[in-house]
Amino acid sequence: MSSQIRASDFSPSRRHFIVSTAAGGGLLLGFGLPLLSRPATAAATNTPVVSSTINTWIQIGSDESITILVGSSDMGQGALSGLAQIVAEELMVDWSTVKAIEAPASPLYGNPAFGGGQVTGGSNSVRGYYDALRTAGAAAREMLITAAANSWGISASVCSATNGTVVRSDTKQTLSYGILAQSAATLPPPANPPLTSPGNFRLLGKPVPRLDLPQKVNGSAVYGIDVVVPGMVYAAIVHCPSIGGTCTALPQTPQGASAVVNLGNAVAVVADSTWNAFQAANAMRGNIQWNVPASAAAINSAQIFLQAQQLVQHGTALVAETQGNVSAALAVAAKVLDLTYDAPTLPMPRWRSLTAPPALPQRTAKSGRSPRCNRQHWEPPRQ
Amino acid sequence: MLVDGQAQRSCDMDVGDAAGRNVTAIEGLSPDSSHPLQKAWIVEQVPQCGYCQSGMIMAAVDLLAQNPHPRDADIADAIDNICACGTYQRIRAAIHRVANGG
Repeated sequence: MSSQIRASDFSPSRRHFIVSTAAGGGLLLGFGLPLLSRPATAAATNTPVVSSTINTWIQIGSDESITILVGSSDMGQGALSGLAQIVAEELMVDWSTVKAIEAPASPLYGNPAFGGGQVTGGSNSVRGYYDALRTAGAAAREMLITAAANSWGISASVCSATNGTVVRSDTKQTLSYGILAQSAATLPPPANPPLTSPGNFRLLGKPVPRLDLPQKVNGSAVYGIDVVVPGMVYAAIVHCPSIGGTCTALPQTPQGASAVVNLGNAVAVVADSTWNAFQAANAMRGNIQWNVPASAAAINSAQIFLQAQQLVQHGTALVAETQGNVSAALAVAAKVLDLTYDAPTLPMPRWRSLTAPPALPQRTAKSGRSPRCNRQHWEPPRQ
Repeated sequence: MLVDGQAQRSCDMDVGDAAGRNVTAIEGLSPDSSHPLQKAWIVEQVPQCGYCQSGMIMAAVDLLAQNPHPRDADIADAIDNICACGTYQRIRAAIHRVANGG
């Protein structure tokens, strides 16, 4: 699968872009991009950095840069670093050499916990990707070892990987990953690479500096709200004032807006800027006809709380997760806590959706077709 | 951001009110993220989503200019910015780190 991403698709200049040269992966070229190149080697020698794709998750540059693609969105929970840690552990590279970038939107980067959907939420990043990323890191390590063994004309069994290099046990000679990457990328990935024993983990379960923090103390971090693409429009939304209500008649498109859209329980208005969309939303707010069910009058926090209490006391419990024999363990427990927690129903603050990095869209169609087919969806996928 | 050295919320200020005044945003704090607060923010691993942290750092710049050795209560009084991730404990730690010499 090849995902073509053009430089023109990106407004934020720090974003890297990659050019896939062949279906199924192969060589990726990095063009002196800030996230992929390291000036100490590449700039000094004026040699273009060649970045080799070892597998879906790992790119290794001729400048020894290790770039790990991360399928989850980092919204502050640390997924960018946590998932990179898993790969780096098995890949046998030093944490200080690792860069992590958000993967493009593609089925390749989906989370097994969501059936392959590229979704971030529910504390599913590490447990969803864990096995796949360990295997990917281990497979890449084995391919690099094999590439080194081939280069030396010896058996891979007398070679080992450590700190971004492959060492041969007899002469102690080494070859770096940066040198080996291009040939390693051409090797078939091993199906069942040996995984590191948890007792030997260097990175997993250990505190490491998070990779996303430097950009978050100097204003350079890119959030969903920062993305601007050519021809982009902005929508503002007016919700039905009551739960369960629906829009029965759309208002005229307000002046300064380009469209109004009936979303059922809300109406969106589309304009060419945030300001104009907000102005239009305010202008049409009183002109939307809502059908509000009579039962809506009984919906309030006190009623919801009462209903929750009744369900806790008399309803049928939904079991979210069971481990071990709960009733047997409770029967012999020294102390049993019987507590009920409640929390009010609160609206999710709207700005939260802006604080995750944007997921790169896949182009839905080439230009030249009808405009409907050329839409892009940029999403800061925060839940 | 700092307006004539004082922390101001950019979201709460008309552009016209900045005319003729000295404005410093997070990007202007240092050319290379070398300001002591920026370094302390990394050492203490302060940010999570990071969205509020530019404002937090600029507010801390203002606070330390007025009070080089703030107590926790001084920090709570001076910086009422909101962090939805809840990084307040590490923000305090980072400010104390700078107050104590980095």
